[in-house]
Amino acid sequence: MSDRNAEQPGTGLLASGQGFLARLRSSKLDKSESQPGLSATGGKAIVGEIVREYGSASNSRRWLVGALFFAPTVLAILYYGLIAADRYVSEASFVVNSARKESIGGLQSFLQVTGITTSRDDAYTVHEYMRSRDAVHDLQQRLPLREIFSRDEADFMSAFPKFLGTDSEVELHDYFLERVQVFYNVTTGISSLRVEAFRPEDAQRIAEQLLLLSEDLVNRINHRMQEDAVEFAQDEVNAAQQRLIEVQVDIKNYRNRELLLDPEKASLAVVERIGELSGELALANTEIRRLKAASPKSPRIATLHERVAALTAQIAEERQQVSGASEGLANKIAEYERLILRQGFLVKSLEEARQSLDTARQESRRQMLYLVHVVRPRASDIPQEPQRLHQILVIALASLLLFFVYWLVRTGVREHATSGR
Amino acid sequence: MLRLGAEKLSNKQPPPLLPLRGFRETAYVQSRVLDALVIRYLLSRYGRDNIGFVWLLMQPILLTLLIVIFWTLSGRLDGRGINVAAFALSGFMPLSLWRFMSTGAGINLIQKNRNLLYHRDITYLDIVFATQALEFIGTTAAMVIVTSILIILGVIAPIQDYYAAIMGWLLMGALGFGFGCLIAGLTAWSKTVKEIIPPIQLIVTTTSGAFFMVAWLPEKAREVITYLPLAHAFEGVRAGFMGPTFTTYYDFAYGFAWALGVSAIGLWLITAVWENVDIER
Repeated sequence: MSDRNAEQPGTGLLASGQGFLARLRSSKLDKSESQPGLSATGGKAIVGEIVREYGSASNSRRWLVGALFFAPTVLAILYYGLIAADRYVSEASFVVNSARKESIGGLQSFLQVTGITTSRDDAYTVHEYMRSRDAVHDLQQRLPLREIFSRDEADFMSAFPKFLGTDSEVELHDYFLERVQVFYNVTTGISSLRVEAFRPEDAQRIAEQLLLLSEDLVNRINHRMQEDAVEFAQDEVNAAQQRLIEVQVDIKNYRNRELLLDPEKASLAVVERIGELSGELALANTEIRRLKAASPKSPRIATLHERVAALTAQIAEERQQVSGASEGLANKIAEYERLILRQGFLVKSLEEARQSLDTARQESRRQMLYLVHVVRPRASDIPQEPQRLHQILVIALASLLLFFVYWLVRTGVREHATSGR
Repeated sequence: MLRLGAEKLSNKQPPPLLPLRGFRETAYVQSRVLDALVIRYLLSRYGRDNIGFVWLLMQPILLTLLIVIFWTLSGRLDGRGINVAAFALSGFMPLSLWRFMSTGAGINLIQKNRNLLYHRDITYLDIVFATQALEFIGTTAAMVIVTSILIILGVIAPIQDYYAAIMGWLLMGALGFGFGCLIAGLTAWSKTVKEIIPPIQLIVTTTSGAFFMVAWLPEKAREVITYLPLAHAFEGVRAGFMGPTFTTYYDFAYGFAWALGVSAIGLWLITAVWENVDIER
């Protein structure tokens, strides 16, 4: 490239203006020094510009900026290289299943954000518990959680009462969330539990106990669900039975009161009696007619007339009994029939309640949740956390990217400032 | 100031003859050249009134805003399913980076900038690096700012896996650089290449994972897609944004191997065709 003539000014192609030319010129300074043939008059102005632009003041600012963006990386190297304590990871995975199983995943999960299946809901229930302070509290009943998180192996940044932190339940919970992660894989429907601790067996124990506690939770939910559904149906059955018994008592009282076993049958008997009496009445009337025709002087006619009168009176009396104003059988039948009808209804509703109890029992059995272990937690033999090189790389690259942002904004502002002058 | 400068200059007269610059000096000149070129390109790319760079930020913000409004109106942003805003952002921004670096900067790169070689300290590699560096830095700045804003506003969750996100982003930058060089070389070599690039770009961008996750594909398609280097970059960024809830498929080593290979071919091509390019205005 060096054969190109760098001193050809004003080629007219540098459309972007002063800033560029100035910068380019300043870069050419060294060359104009090294090549004695070049004009020194341009050089003076250029040097002035350089001094102006990169004087001692802005030089120290450059150092500051450089230090600012380098410091995180240096600190990361120091911390991850020398101080950071090893952490061992224990991983477990589980599935929260119910008997009716719907799996949803892939594109479907994208399109149906609201169409969350129940098994996923149940998995979230378990996750929510695992991440809760309740779980931390329950764990502490079974494991010395504070001791585990403040082992001698831990360094001051990663041990439990955090650097400049307090030894409180709330902060223990925050710390717990840093060391324990639960997540749900949409594609497979499997939940994963990941526990970090300073000793491999600690991580394993925490994972195991968390799974056991979650299983307890699932059992509690099952128990509750079963009780709720079945209890309601059982109440219905009990109420129906109670009502049936009450009606039965009413019927018994009625019978005792009216001295009738079955008013319907009683009325039938009366009607029959009326029929019989009517038959006899008819016979008697016929006999009277026959005797009047054959031997009008027969003494039997008088007796027969008495008989007819007696029969008529009896029939009238019996009729009175059936359809009398208040004491009549018809009224009694109406009341009796109401009771019987009620009894029939109640028997039916008892049957229905029994059936719904059966269904509720079956349903609750079908809705049972199961926490199925896919992978049991194991103690790992090498520390997997912290991933020192990864962390250092991430911090270095992140500072670099942030520096780019800073540089771009600074340059933009600076160009703007010069163009305004 | 001026006096001081003149004094300095006069102290050094006669200037010592240095046939070759030392490393420090060369590095200084190199950095000045790159600095100047990037600023030149910054001004021509985004304009002097600074709104250009802001537009680079506005695009993803607008996209995310529209998506959030749409999903909120349809009452589906309940946080339990996929975070649509994070999904859109982690697809759109790497896609922008890819488009800016590969075709945006690559097409006719040599024809547009050949005049700059009149300045003896500028080499063609400086031009290529400066152009691509600015595209990368500009889009990175937009990404960092937009992501920070959205995380602070709570629209998207904090980044779940910084390593995957940053490496995916860098991989996209490396691939964009490599293919940008390749396209720069090819477009300088033949004018017809420019005409067939848009359809190819369309196919590449729609099939490479900007608009879907590789896990959603059937096994066979997934296998094919993961041969393409772009998918690894998209999936990496996505893994960083969406976390372990979603299965992602990426292999940074594979992706960077591609980037390295394509960059080598592209730079070789540029070297080969550089001297024989007609200036196109």
